[in-house]
Amino acid sequence: MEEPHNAEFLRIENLVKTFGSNTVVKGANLAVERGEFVTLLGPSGCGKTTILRMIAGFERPTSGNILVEGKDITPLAPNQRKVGMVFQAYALFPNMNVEDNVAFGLKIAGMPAEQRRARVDEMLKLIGLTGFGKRFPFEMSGGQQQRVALARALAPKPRMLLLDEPLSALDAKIRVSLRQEIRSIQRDLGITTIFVTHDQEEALSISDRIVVMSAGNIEQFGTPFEVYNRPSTKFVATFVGTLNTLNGKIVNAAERSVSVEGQVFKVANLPGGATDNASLSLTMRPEAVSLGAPNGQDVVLSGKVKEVSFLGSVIRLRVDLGDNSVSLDTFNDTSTPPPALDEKVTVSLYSSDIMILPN
Amino acid sequence: MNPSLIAIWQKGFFRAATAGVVYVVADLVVRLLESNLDEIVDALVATLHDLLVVVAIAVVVTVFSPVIARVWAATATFRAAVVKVGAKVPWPWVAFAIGAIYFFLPLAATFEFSLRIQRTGYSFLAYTNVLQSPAFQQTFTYSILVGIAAIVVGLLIVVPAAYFVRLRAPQLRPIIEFVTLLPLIIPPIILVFGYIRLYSSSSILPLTNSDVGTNILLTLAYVALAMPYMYRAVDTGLRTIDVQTLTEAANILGANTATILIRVIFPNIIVAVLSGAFLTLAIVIGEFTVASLLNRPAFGVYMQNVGANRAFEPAALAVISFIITWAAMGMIQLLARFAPKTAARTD
Repeated sequence: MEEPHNAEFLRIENLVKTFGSNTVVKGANLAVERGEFVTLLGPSGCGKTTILRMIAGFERPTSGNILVEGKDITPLAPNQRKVGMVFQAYALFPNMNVEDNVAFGLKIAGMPAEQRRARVDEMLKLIGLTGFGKRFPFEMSGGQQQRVALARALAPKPRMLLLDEPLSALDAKIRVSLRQEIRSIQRDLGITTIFVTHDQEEALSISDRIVVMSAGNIEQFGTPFEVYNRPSTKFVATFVGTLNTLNGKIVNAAERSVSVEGQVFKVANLPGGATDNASLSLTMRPEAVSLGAPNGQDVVLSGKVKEVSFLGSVIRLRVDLGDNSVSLDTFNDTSTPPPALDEKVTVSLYSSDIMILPN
Repeated sequence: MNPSLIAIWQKGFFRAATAGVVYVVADLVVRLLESNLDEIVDALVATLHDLLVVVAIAVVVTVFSPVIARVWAATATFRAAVVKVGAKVPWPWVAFAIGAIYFFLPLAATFEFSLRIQRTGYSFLAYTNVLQSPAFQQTFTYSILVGIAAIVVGLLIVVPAAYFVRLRAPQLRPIIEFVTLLPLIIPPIILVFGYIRLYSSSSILPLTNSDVGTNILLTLAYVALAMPYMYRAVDTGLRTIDVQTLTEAANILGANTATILIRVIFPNIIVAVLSGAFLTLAIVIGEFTVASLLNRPAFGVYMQNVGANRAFEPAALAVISFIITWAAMGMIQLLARFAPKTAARTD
């Protein structure tokens, strides 16, 4: 059963964390709804893990508050917060087998042995490791260990789940399958989840909403669709996904015409106060750019193929337009081989797909 | 003649000569610093003499360096042969054999001697005498009990201390390590005299007035003496686990600090703890100074007593105490096999 959405569950108010003279989190504000899967995304050192650790209670905020269901939990110790957490390093207790690991929180809470056993069985079934109860952590693979860690965190029915880069230590295939599993378990239980990662693809695929962070600041908080397609800052645009940046010049501000390497075209809109001959950066996603002009795109540029990377279903090309270059993706069409190196080609895009971002 | 070989010789000579001159000059400076005028003159003359000797050696070596080089070159085949033979010698085993002889010969001699109590031939009579003596049984039991008490008290101090230092104050580690090393620097005799002064009948806490009090004092002394080994053993154990993450994982599941220490940390360092415990036991069994000066009926005191009054029994006792120590060490090795295995760490 999924809990009804639109009910605020976790609120972070003006959260600041300073280590010595270094301010790691600079006044974060966040409101997470009940049952939501929210990802804190950013490069290392951006403060995402610090926020998570403050929610867990491992770090004390320098100032600001953390509220769960309207109650301030900032003064509570980690063992009083009733939240579950999964760590990057699994952190299973090496001296206990799987059952005892999963039962640890229940034992601490004083649950009677019989109920405990039932709950452990239920959790092992949930993570698909029924029959692994007597194994020790060292006898299991990384993926299995991390699933046990998830079961251990969920067993005492926490009101919130915190995931601190739980997939980073795993190899690529397991990472993808486990993230889908985590997401489906989270949906089934309807548990509010905060997930920390530096992997933008992971964040886009798994989250209800993403908090993009940089240098202690929240840059954008929105759905994966919003963050990817309508990045609110240049940092978000470049950090999430791949981005082409073309340096151009405004030819006529009134007509919204710009030129890149002498090739003139019109854009959908210009920032306010734009003047003729001012330089500007035009950005676009690789998938917005097409080879040729198959659908009558309104911006057509010509250039030379400088790089061809065959990625399987997709072929990524880099086309030089003089000093600027643009990357674009085309689907691997079995009947048409990709263009050759140094071949002259035209590339095209819709002017509405061009983003002019504030620096 | 190989010119590069000559260059090597000359370089070597130059270094030796430099070292010689530096030494001579340094020697002169030292002498000048602590001398009156006559002695300064003497020193200058002596230095002049030394320098002349250095120069003379330098001249001789320089003149003869081509000859030396030629001899060196001429003996190449011979040296190669020596090296070839040398390569076939199992040097590690030779070193081991020398070490083994060094350690085992006295022990073997002691053992052989301990068997000769009867003129008619070898017998274990000395061992029977020792093992059947009530004094042996009493002092041995006493030392084992004090040893166990010292282990328990030591663990109660060391495990939480090492844990908190690792978790909360890693910058204090060098200081704590230094403190735990102090018992190795301060001789037990100083320690025990300090104790006697601090806790004698005229002090605020007259522990030496009663047997129980003195036993407590002895236990505490052994805790101090075993501290370097105990702390190191526990600290090494803590290094093999991810203390911080395990603590946080248990903490967020609702556990308090005591529960974390008892249920999570302690079971994972049990082997390290036991090795510290057996080391402590080995120290306590043979300790003489503190036990003797506190007038306790300990095994070390008994051994000394027997050693002073008998001929063959001390040899038997020495062999017995060796066996006990080895058994303790063997236990450490054995227990390591039953250690809870740590899962591969990812950090």
